[in-house]
Amino acid sequence: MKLKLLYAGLAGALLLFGCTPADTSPPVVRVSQPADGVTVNTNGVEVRGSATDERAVARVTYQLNGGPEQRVDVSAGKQVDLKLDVGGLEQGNNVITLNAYDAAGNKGSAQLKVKYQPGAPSVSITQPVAEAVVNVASVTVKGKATDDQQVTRLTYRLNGGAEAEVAITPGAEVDFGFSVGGLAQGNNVVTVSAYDALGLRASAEVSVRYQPGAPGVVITQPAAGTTLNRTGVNVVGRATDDQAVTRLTYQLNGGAEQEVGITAGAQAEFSFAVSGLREGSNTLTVNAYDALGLKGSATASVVYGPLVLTGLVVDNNAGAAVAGSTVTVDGSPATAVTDGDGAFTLHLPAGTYNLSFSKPGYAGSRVEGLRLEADLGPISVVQKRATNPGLATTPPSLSVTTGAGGCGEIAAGADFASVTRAQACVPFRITATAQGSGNMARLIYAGLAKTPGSGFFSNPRFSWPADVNGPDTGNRQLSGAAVAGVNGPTTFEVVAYDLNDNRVHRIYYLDFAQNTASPAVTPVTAFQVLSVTLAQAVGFYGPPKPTAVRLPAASSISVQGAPSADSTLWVELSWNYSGTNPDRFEVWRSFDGSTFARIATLGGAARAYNDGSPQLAVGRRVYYRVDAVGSTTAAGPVLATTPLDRFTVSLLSPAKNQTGVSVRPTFSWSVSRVVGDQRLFAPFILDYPQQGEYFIWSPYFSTGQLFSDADLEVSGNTYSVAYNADGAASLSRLEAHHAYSFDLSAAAVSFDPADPARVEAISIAQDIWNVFHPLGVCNFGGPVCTGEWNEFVTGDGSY
Amino acid sequence: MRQVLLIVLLSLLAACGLQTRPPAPDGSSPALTIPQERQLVVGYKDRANLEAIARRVGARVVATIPQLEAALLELPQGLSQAQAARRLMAQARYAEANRFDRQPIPLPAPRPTAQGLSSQAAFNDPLLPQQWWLGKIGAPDAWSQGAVGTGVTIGVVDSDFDRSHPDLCDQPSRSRCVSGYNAFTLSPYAPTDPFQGNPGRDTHGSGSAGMAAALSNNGQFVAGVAGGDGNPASAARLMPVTIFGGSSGGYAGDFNVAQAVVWAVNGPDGLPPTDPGDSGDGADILNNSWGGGGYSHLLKDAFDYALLNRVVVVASAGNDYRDAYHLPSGLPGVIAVAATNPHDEKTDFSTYGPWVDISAPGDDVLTTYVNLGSKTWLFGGTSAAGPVVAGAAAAVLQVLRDNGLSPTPYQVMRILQMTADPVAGPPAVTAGMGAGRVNVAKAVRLAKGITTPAALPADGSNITVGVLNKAADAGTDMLGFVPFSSVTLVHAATGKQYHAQIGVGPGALFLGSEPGNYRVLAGGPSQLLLGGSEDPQETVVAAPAGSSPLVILRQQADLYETAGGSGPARNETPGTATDLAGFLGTLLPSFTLSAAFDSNNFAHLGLPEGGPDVDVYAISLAEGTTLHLRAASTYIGGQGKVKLSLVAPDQITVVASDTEAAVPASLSFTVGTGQAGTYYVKLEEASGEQGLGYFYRLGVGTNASPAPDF
Repeated sequence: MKLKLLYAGLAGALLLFGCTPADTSPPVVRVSQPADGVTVNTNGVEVRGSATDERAVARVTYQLNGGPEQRVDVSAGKQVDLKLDVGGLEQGNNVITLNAYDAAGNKGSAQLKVKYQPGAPSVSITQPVAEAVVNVASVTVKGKATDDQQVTRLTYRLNGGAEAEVAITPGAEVDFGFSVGGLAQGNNVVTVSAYDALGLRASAEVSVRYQPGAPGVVITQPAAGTTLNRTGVNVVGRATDDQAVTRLTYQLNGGAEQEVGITAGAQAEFSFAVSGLREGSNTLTVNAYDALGLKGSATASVVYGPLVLTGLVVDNNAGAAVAGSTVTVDGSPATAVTDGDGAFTLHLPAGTYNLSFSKPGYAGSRVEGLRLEADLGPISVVQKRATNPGLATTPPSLSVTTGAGGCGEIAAGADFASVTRAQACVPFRITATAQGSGNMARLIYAGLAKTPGSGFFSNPRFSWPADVNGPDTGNRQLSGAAVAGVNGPTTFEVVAYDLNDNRVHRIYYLDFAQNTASPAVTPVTAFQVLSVTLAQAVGFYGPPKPTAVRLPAASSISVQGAPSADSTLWVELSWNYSGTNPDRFEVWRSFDGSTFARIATLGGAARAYNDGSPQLAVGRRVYYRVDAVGSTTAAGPVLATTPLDRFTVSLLSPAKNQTGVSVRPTFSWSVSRVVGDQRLFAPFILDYPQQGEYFIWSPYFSTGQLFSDADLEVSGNTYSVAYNADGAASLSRLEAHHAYSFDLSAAAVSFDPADPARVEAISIAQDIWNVFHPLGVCNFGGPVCTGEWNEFVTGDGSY
Repeated sequence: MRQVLLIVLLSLLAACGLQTRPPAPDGSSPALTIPQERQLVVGYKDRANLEAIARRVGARVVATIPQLEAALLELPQGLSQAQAARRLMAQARYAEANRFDRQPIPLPAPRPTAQGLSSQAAFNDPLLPQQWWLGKIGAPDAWSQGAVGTGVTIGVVDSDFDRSHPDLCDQPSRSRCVSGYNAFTLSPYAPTDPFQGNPGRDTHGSGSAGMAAALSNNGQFVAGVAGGDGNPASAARLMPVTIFGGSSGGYAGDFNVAQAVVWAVNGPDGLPPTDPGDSGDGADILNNSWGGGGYSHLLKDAFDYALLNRVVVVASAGNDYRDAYHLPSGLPGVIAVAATNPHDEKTDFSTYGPWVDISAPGDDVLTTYVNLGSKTWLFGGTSAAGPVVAGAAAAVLQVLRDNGLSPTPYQVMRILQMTADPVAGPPAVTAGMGAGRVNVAKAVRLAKGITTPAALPADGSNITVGVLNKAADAGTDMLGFVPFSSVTLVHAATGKQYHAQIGVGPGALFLGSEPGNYRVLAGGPSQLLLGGSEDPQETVVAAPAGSSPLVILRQQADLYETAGGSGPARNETPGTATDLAGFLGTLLPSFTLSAAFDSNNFAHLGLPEGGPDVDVYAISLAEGTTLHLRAASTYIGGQGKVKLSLVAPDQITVVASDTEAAVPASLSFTVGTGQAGTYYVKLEEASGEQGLGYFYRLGVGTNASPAPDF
């Protein structure tokens, strides 16, 4: 920098003094590109650099390998940027010289060594992939050839044969695609070569296997595992071949091949009848052949069963249907899927079966030891939702022995399957082993003449909390009330649940005998039938509180059901009986009023029964009869009910947590749907949470009043009532700046068309005060705990 | 200001050591032997007031809790709790039944639900893989950070837990279990004492204790949140506070439970944590997996006592399925805990709502049972969720104390809230699950980074709301406060509501409230208990973090109306006059009382309404005593014109009279020889008007000027 200034100063000084010295300094040439000594694969190269002169660069030239100077176009100047193409490089080493001249003729040069080494082409094959297998005798070969100059020629050889030319447009990059025919069966090698103008060559190979294809067969009917109630079946499907399917046959159970007429072609549809299925499992095989004699097959298993087994799968007792659950049968290909109602049908030969039920998102359910001797069903299967996908869905395995034995010469410690008869009691011992890590047994039930489970439907029965007491029940016995009323062929049934809700239900068949008094019998009296629908899928229960449901229609029902279980719809039966208890009561049910089936056998002391069958449905009328059996049978009266639909309520005003509410408020709510013949409501206003949770206004607890449509302002599905409409509230108006709670018990009822004074069905939307049913499911009682409860705060009392 | 106010509040609630009674010969306390309908719990101001209260209703004082200024009375035959409560209104800070209807938040019906695998393998408890809930809340991560509950004492307010269970107390020394208290016998017991109750029946406490702090990494059974690292000395200490069980498996009653809570806060040495001599043996955290029922002043006072002593109070939110308020978990300052399932959704049975603070797993959670059978069980309910949070609070407290800090219960709750994970489900439901599902790993991590007091979360505010009588002079009035008024606080920004009821005295405390500005809505006077004209009040209060604002509102009330005679009757005549000494106890030489002309009082008790309201007060005067009286309404801001008269012991002769004009009505009278007896001070409104606004103040001086100088 300093030097420059010095020079500039000097030059300036000189100029100032009008002195122009002679120019003796030559220009300086610098080359910036390419690097000295570089090797290139083209015969031309772009050279860049600069020439500088203290006065001016006047002229620039270049020379190749000492040849004549070639002029480079530049503009004169002190510094000149240079950019030029130098072509005609010779193979091997070249020297490029750049010369810059100034006006005085001083010359500066720079030299650059460049080596020209032309490259060979390259070839790559993109198709087919290596080791490809084709089922025709030709293959399309695709790829790319490149060269630093040009690819001028492309050829291929098949399996080392003559080189065949491939037409291309020469270029530095050539994409090629051509067909190679005449493949030999088995392995082939295709070699592709690319050449450039210098004759340099590159090659690539790909191996291709020509394997003419065997036919394929798909059977679309029957579906695998179909069960049939007849000995013939239609087989439908399609055979395909890469050339043509020329022949089709079938075999039944591995027998001789039977010819099937088809139209030869690449796709051959078939549809033919097969008869002569045997009972049980049958294997159908369909074979297709092509001209080369290659063969393809498909099989389908079908089951012919003269007996019909139907079932209904629900997610809880009297709960929702489980659609899309797959049923499989141990030791058989038979399978089915439940429909939208949770129903399935299997046609099976007589025998004893284990059924498994599976559906994504659901626990596993299994029925073991089901004896099929005649058409049977619908059996009820409970398959609950799995709440944790991390646990196995395999149900527990059971070990059931005779425990301490006895009860009519039953040996101790034997497999319970060996029991054929028992006298007055049933000895047993059950161990339930949960499957999969992190799992454990939760509950074990056992019962005689019933499927044991929730107490509401199956009391009396044996239940065992395995989470607390372990998976082994130890030696136990069913006797007394647990076996009351049973005489004759019956079942001993075990149900176990594990942590993931997987369920196993095992059935044993035996004869049961006990002494009977055989008294004279009379029909039951005070027979009552009530269908109950709850808006909540309730869990297990608390103790019941008997209560009377008083209705504006002046009819009264005392509902004294046994403790409830997980159900949304069931029918409650109750009756009285005078005189000596009969040997047993039999409960009969019909869906048409004329054909009845016996659904339960109860001891002579029973006075109530709850039917939670999955066959009950909203809108489906059902009829019941309870017979007393002793020395004779006394048939009881028949009563029917049509279960009501579920509905819920929304509390509209006051709104939840609303402040500034009027001290003479109007309470309003809506129902999700209008159900039954009459809606019934019991509003409650509580002085809660600031005070003692007592009722400021509760018409139901004051006078037993329920409000129905006639007592309320009704607009569509919306109801309203003014505070203290009945005048019985503790305060004629609410207090200002005070927090209250608005709760509502709501239900709908329907009346027996044959007896309008009888309430035959009830649907409860919400009720924590046991207004409508004694069931105690909630923390502090009530049959339906879910629902709405609105806390609000009044305003300043001026309105 | 905050420090001062807290000390004032504490001193109002604290006193000498807990008064213990020797256990009754059959081992159970009087609350359990006296018929429930004859028991009444009252709040009192001082000993003299308590004696006056007892005399008023002819009751026997059975027991007192001096720290809470609460007493249990046995009522005489023929006097119902409701009648007695009405008689004692205003005289007592509150009067309520001793409730026995509270329950453990019971296990929901055993609905088949599922558990999942937990992921960790750090601790060696063999059943740990089946305790999905520990993995879900990040407990193993917290353990690996060293947070296992060391040095923290958790009071399990529940049925007794089985101290013979090796996974609850290390055997045989049971060193990680400390002495507890039996609310049935009202006496402490040692860890090595027998099970207090029936282990076959009273299993709930073993579940609660196990969830919080079953011994972890001891090669046995299950793990708990704050169960140590294998060395029992590293685990949180468990203190049983037995309020369920007894001889019949029930609840020990609010009064005994309040005593038990006070004992647990003080610890065996009987000294509150603020006492310089305290050995620090009280509980740091109280877990309450129980509740239901209505509002109780006594239980609120008991929990306030704990909160003011920096004890973290956790309570289960209830298994009521609905969006509805629950007590006592909904009380201000108490951490209300709802329950979640393996999918972090609300369990179907859990109560929820805007008052819930946080959630925790509570569905099919494997933990310790009593020492029977498999000794473990699938516990459930918000009963199980609460102790998970108690254990997490213990882990956080351990870390903060290691950092030399002493957080308030609100600050501990905030750390848990700030690190909670979202609850899954529809917004209308998840909004009622508090800040989310507790994550103890994140909470511990956050706590570890808090090393100075300034870094602690902002503290809550402690709001006190009191209601003074409109006519009262706070300095001289014998009963200046209006009791039983309902108070609702509404947070201006969030709309969140807090509810309480005012007793007499310090008013309603809203401890640990979310900072912010509040609308204060005071209703009352209580129409059911006091009657009279309604005088609702409203104001706003600013309650920034860590503040302790005091809000005083004024309402018109007449607390003296029925103090005459034995049945509900107005004090309209000398025959039914309010006996001042009987009502107020020892009378000061000069004092004031505030009342109103309003014959709407007690209308729903069947007293006749309408007509001018006349108030008559009886005072016994000796010979030579000079009585000075002064009374005014307009003069003190009311609308009435007071006519003041003094009636002779013959109940007829008016010996002096004056009417308020520009100055208060006043008169003086000296009792002559032979004229000693009961005199009657009669107040009337000169025009026969009455109602809202017609409040008056009466000053009474005996050989002294009537106070105040108004």
